Amino acid sequence: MSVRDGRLGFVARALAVCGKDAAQELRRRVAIASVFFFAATAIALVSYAVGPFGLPQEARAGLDAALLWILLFFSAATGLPRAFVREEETGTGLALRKLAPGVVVLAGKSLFNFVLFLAIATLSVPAFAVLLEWHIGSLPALAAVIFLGGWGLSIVSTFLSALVARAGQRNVLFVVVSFPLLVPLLLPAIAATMEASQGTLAVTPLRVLIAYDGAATSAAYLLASAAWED
Amino acid sequence: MGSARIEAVGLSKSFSGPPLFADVSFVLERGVLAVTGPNGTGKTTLLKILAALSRPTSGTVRVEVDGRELSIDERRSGVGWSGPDLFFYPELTALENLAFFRRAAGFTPESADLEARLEAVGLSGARGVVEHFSTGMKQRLRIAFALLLDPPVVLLDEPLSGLDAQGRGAVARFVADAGQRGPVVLAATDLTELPPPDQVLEIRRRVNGEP
Amino acid sequence: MRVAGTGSASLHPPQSIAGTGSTNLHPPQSRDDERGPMKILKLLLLPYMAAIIAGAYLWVEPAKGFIGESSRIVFFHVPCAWTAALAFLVAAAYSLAYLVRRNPRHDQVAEASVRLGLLFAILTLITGSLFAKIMWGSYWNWDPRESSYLLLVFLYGAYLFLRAAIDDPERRARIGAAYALFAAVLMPFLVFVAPRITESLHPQTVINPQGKILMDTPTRVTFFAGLVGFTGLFLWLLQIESRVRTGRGLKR
Repeated sequence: MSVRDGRLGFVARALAVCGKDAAQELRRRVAIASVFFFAATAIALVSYAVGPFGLPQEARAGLDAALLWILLFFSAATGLPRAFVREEETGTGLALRKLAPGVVVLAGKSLFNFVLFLAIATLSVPAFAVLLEWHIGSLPALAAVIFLGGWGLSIVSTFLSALVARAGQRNVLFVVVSFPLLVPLLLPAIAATMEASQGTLAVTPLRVLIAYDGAATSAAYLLASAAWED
Repeated sequence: MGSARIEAVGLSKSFSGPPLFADVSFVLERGVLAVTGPNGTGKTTLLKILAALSRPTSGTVRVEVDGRELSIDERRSGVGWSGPDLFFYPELTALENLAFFRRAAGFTPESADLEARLEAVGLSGARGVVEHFSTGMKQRLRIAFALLLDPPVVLLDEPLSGLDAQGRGAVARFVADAGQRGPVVLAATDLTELPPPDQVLEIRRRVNGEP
Repeated sequence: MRVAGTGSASLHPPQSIAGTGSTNLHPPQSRDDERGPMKILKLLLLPYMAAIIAGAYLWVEPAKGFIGESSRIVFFHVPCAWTAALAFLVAAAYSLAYLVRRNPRHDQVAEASVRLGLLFAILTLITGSLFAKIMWGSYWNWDPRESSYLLLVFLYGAYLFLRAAIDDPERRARIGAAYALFAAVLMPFLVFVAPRITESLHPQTVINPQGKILMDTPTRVTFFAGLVGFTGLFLWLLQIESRVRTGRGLKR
């Protein structure tokens, strides 16, 4: 953060956007609560249907990792797109567009979404592990996947949220436009999660995630003004 | 504050159909330009184009401050604007809204300064969140927003709407003062309560193809 | 109240469309305007493609390691796949051009290219499934390479759905272009990385690790000639499709 003659740098401005989003969501509470409620419902459903009483552990090898990421993806899809949609709902998009360039707003909102995703994951993973008796072999390896996968998911979701914010059919539109772009993230994430549950660090999928995150972040940065400004 | 100048050359705007307005040109250095005309003739759109919030179909806008032309991005954040499409974050207070907008624009907000700004528009007692504001309070906040970065050029779209007599008087006085310092462009359907402008731009509605 | 000299607004139509955001309102170019060589090339395309099809069945011998005549599909399946990918690159290029210049014509070409890409991607999936049925007994196997083309179909569909959901033409073009370019950056992960890090049923591709072209002469000639023919067909269809769009103005 730099303060020169009362002027703020990029990071400070982005953090202001992030903080404002956090203040809005925490005061409103409805939207965030619905995201966690969705995750809880999904975990309950999954554990009831294919949990320890539904399917034996052996039959579920590999399924758990996929289920976890499907759960995280859909929980994120209910919450993350709100980043830009919220601005359109309150009508504040115009004021923000006037004062802050696309990259600042995108950076701030992506950061907020990333924190939100980590919060969802922090609550979902233990619940998932307990209810489905899912064994986590290596916690650091799992944390690495959640972090890397989560960042990719956040930046892509936030960018796409800017694209769909002023379109019709927003909910289904978001899932449709995000799915093809997130599959190349979800597949390595699932593979790495499977390995983490067995206790190993999956180098190749993690490398792919790092490359994906780098590409998505750069592309979002370059296209931010096209997505956001008029 | 140095000198400022706003110039429009041949502005026109159409939304897939016949143009809303065409061939709008003016130059303003100091004083008040009032844009007037019936509802729906494009006053709001014109002001948004001047504020770089919308692109014209053709024509250009030039804003110069101290002899230097502003780029489109500098114009967008540097020119003060308020209009009926301006809304605030309902979950935040007036002070929090202004503080956030100042930070987002890249300037440190100082409590004393923001309190003074709120007082200048008659919102010094307002403590609650904007969601509970009356129309008049929101309009006062809009004026405060337009002036938030102490802009060299001010654009006000329907500045008196929703205000009581005291509020309207205050805004009228403010407009007169601001016009002494630099260019002010107003858009209003009814100019009677405002001080006499230095220039008037009337946008007439087309009737049967005749201007 | 004084009325200033320069401050009048009239509602005459704009004298000239200059500055930002020019619209192309010229009528679509008719065939009679076309220059000689282009017209000849187009006329030749039909017999050329017929020759390729004939060659694929009559000149080339079925390849070893494939069941029956099924190897002949390579002359149709691969060019379709190539064209689908080419369409994507063309769409991305024109999307970039649109964002830089804001010329609506570029956006129309980008959209036309995506529509054609969707068509060729679907054809790729169909021809691939027919081959899969013959070789492995089932139409679909979730093979990484097959699946990447299924995802391409979803991607093209998403682009068109996104555009359809936006009413304002300028915003539609800008948002479409932003999505196309964003997807273009992530596409290598979709098409190249995923199939390569996992095992695949898919036959070894032309671009193989040894870098050599493992085909005999008739196959090689017919195959590459086919690629050229499909590319020509794509470009011609692209021209027609974007011409139709221009004629309809900026409507969907």
